[in-house]
Amino acid sequence: MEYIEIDGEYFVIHEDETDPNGEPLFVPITQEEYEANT
Amino acid sequence: MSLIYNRRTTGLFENGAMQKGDDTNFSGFGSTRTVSGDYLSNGRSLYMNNVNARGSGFIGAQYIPVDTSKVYQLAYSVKTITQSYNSRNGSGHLGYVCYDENKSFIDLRSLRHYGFTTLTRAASPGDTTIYVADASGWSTSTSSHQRIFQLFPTGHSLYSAANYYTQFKTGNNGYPSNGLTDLGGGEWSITLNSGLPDWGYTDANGEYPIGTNVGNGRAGGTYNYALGAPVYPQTWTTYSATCTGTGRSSGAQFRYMTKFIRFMNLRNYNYRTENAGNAALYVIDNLFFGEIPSTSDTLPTSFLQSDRFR
Repeated sequence: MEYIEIDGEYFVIHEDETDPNGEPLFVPITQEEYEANT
Repeated sequence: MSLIYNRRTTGLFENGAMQKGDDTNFSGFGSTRTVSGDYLSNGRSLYMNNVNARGSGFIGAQYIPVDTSKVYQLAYSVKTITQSYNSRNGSGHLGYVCYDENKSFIDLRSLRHYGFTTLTRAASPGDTTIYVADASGWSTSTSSHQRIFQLFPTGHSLYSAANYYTQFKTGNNGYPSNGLTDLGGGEWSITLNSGLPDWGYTDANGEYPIGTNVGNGRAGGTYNYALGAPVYPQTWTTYSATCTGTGRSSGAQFRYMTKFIRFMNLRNYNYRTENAGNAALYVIDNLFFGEIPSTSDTLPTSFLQSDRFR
């Protein structure tokens, strides 16, 4: 589980959960959650 | 105000209010629940009863046809039944997933948005250096999922610059973060990490000709989290949004070239790391996705939470 900021938006990337193309899931989170985990 | 039913059932979800008496189209989500007060219509609700659901995604089976030029309302009604071991309510992202006319998932990586430019020299499959008019808007991020090379071919009915959509793209890490060079005179080079794939749609010379549109694909929010990521109260609560038009969207607006959508929920996502006991359990009912006359004509909560879904 990786926390990342992209252009002012915050996401968790889940390597263990994939989309229909097999790519890791990018889930938006709050800035507060991002800052608490990075 | 008139309600456009679209079908004989309320809205376009098939079995969105458990009209069939089972979890058809939502198999795998959990079960159904028939306790009085825990359903809205048809004596049954969709029951997320998996005590180990901590953030896992669920996508409904039904592909719902969409005309993105029209206005739709999306609404899900939710209620926490049992709190988690540490008194958390149910929670998680609610929304939908976009698919094109071939029922292929539409990823943000496939959409025209960043670094849109043209080839200044013809490119052939296998080439590792590509010449474009302007790569100043291309990502130099260290994250591989921001560095994807897109090509919008000439002559393809679906993948085109005009449609803002292509599946002709490299994978993540299509070019290195130091692979962009301003050559001056209105030309840049892009060094690919692998040879340009052969997607077809080259010209008679087996090339993508000068002027072919290319762009920088980038990952972002995977699905359309149209209804946000709420914590579900222990009383019935309805989340609603209007959906119309297209863009590079992970919200209520449809993605470019969307022709179908499917239901989506990330189950108990907000408390996914709290795993010392059972996760929260919740019900969903009266799933609604239907055309409305305008964004000012949304159906009221009094209807969306009623027992009148058929």
